[in-house]
Amino acid sequence: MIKPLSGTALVVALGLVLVSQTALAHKLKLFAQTEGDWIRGRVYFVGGAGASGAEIRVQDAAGQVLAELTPDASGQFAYQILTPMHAPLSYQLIARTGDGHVAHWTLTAVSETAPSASTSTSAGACPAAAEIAAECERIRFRDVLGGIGYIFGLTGLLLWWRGRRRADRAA
Amino acid sequence: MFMHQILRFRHSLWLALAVSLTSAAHFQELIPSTELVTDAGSSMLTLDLAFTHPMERGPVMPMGQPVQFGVLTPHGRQDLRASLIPRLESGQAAYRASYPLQQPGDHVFFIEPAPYWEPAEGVMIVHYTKVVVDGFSGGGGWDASVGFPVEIQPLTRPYGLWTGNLFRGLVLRNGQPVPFAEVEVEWRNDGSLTAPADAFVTQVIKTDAQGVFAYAMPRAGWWGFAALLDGEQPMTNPAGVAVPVELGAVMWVRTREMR
Repeated sequence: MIKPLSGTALVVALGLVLVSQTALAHKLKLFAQTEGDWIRGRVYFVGGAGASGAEIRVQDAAGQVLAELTPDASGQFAYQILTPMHAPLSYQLIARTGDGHVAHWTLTAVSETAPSASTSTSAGACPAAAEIAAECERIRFRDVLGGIGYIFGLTGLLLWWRGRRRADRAA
Repeated sequence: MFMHQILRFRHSLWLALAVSLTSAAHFQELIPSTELVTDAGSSMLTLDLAFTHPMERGPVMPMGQPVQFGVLTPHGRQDLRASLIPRLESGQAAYRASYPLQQPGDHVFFIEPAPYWEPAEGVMIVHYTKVVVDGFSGGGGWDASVGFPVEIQPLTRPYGLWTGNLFRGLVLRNGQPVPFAEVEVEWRNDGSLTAPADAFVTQVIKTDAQGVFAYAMPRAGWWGFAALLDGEQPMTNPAGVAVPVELGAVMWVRTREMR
């Protein structure tokens, strides 16, 4: 009597697990940044829910595994770069969940280490203030040209009109 | 013969003037370079601010120094006024800002512009405007409230929208729904479309008894929703006269072609 019941309960429980897993079966996402000697990041599902059950592997560019990390309940993780002087140029982060979801993130040491320094190193990341200023300058120049055009145009129109009136009177 | 031409010219001048006076809705624009930041390589956003008529691509009206300009991030509110760079749009004062979006999650950019004196309508106009950019599919806060006196609370996630999707929103004044409020809708024209008649320039809808509006967006691009409400307090115009105020709760969303 008890056995079949527990069997049903097991099936129900399995069903619940499956349901909750499909509910979470969004795409897995991974995000990471370097802050000083630390790589900090978060593994989550599209929409923001933390994927605490995921595992994160940190590799260098050659694919050598440097660390395996377990995120906290909100999906956050951190990894300390112990030898900053000999740190690889780039890191490959791979997150995996048990059900086969995978997410990748590449950290390029050069462009990511110092966002605060904001030198011209970051590749294609920044339409920098200088560029915007240059565009403002271009717009200003175009406006000046336009203004000169207006002056010439209006003066021309006025002269032509006066000429025509004189010609009309003469005729 | 020539006088006739002059008369015609004058006539068209008056016509142009009349059209611009009666011309449709003003919109405070707040347009980011993208509504979705998907990789670190393109995480630097550019935001364009202008006060204009989006569907008719002008006339542009000058913006004063914004009262507020900032962003709600997953880690709190940030004042971005220092990042505003003045620029000219069709010869009128406008602004641009850049923002490095460096964390997953929704970012709600907002602006409270300086009140604009509209002599043709005899009102001061203040459009409280916002736009949501999602960082790295992090989501989580696309319906966050900026805390404006008048504000649209989106009921449709305001990004990842296909052309033809329905955008729904709740119009709030001091946090309370506003029934039967007028909402003007315009597509930000990229020059590819000329409205066949005035009625097509600005779409006009109203909120229902619960303060909710809905609009299906028929073309790809940026769509502006402006709920227009009468201000409760008058303001003084530049001549020092107390005049009525038009408060706008404005929100921008982008649709993309499904292909």
